[in-house]
Amino acid sequence: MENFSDVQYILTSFLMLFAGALVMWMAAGFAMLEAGLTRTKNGVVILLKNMLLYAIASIMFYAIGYNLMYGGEGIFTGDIAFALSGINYSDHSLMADFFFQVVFVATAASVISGVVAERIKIWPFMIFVAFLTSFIYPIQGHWSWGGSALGGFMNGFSDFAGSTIVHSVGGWAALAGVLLLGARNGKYTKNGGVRPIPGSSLPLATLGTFILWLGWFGFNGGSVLAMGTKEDVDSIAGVFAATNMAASFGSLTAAIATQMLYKKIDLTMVLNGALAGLVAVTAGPNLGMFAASVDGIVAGLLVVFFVSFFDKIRIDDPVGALSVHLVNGIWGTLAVAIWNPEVTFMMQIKGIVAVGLFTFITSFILWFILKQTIGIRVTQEHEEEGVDLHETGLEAYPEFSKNN
Amino acid sequence: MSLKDDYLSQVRQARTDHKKWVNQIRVIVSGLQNDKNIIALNPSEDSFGMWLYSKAMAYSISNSKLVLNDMESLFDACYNQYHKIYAVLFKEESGSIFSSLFGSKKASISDYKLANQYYEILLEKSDQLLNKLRIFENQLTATNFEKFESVLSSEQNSVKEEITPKKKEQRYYRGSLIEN
Repeated sequence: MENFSDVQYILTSFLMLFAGALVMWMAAGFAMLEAGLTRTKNGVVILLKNMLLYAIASIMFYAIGYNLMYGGEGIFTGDIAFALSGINYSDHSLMADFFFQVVFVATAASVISGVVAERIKIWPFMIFVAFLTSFIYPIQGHWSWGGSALGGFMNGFSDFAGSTIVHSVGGWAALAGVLLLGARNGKYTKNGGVRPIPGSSLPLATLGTFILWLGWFGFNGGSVLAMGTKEDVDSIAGVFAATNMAASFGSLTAAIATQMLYKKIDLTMVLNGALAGLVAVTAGPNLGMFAASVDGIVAGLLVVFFVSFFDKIRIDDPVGALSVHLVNGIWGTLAVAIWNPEVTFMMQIKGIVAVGLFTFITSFILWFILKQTIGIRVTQEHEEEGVDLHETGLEAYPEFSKNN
Repeated sequence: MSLKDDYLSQVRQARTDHKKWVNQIRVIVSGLQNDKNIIALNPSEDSFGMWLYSKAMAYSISNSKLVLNDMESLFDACYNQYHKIYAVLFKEESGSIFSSLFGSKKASISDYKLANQYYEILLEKSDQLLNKLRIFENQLTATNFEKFESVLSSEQNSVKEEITPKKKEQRYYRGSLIEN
């Protein structure tokens, strides 16, 4: 080791790799949560989607996305170049940085998977993920983390670890998809009623939530992006603690809210409450424990309200991802303006609107093209029998199958 | 009339009903009657069956449980024989042009012979059933009024509780009411 800057380089790179590994584990959390909150007849496709979206995100972001996001000084996009070419950092490893960023892209794609679950065709979904991770996510990411600020329009926009840039992007893309896809058969009755479709495994959903909670320490903690000084380590520790606090208040608030509204605690809402708190605090986990607590409390309330709201307007979201990631991504980003005196609501709103409009419109166009060409929805017969048998020929739980 | 007297008169009526049922089958297997609808095919729709599965079973928690179980098995055995008789005497050639034009095929002499063989077995089971019914009646007669009434009232209360469903609480899943 020649000097102190080498130590900083090593420790910062280690932070990114370690945090990246934690965030990668969130893919498992998303898979378990989605599998648990949906029916067993669709379990294989759900696991397959979560596995493949991670693989596609890794490949496409390496090949195209990273350069579009972080390469060059363009206002709208970064460089159109291949496989990290022309990019180098002096204070940390490029590959560590890439690895840390790529798992964020996969997280955005995972959000979509839950919303469209139980009726989407596998291949159109994968094509969408390829475009999202190659172009949509990196382009909007270039405006904030890439440093272009969209020619000054997004100056001052603050999103520490990606409430908007990662989670809301996933939410907007999912919203565009689900509007074209429609609700699951039987979810809504002709007279305007909502028929609940209970998930197959709450233990699995709970395990998934705990995995996500664990992974979020890497998501937010790693986003400090430096571990070269004592202050950096203090900052990372503070982010870990604030992240934990927001999730705790989110889940507790959701528990109290469901007890008051429905006279019983709804575990699925408590799980969503924890995740909502995590999404909300992601925009500002460095703003202290009090801010994280309030972020979590409001997130817990929002998620309980919006899950019902989306059902009322007949947007079928089996896992509550829109309420968790889109709604609380917006809330968390706005909340930064409350706690950080250097940030204004207008700065945050401009960023939310720019990212939201771009993601929603491009996603809608892409979903629309896919719908008109190869189709995005399985047939009614396949949906009733379960997409697993028709899309994969496999069953998640063959011992319990009526076909055996 | 006390509860016990009332119950004993129902037992006697059940015996009469069962004997009447056996006699109706004897009329059928002798060829004097060929109306297949005269006897219910479902044991629980028969007069004796209705009494056995409702009123009689109300007493099954006491020491009469074994004899009631025997009666139930024997009654099933009787009905099994009747089903065989029915299949032999009232069989139809389903799908044939002739059966659709002229109705069901008439039973032959050999059919009646076979039906009589089944009837003999039925009669044997019926005698056993009536013996068990007599034992049951004796057990009831030997029971004092207080015990009899306590057994029946506790059983009736538990039956009432089963019939009256508990008021179900409303349940929600993710804010949507789950229909019970």
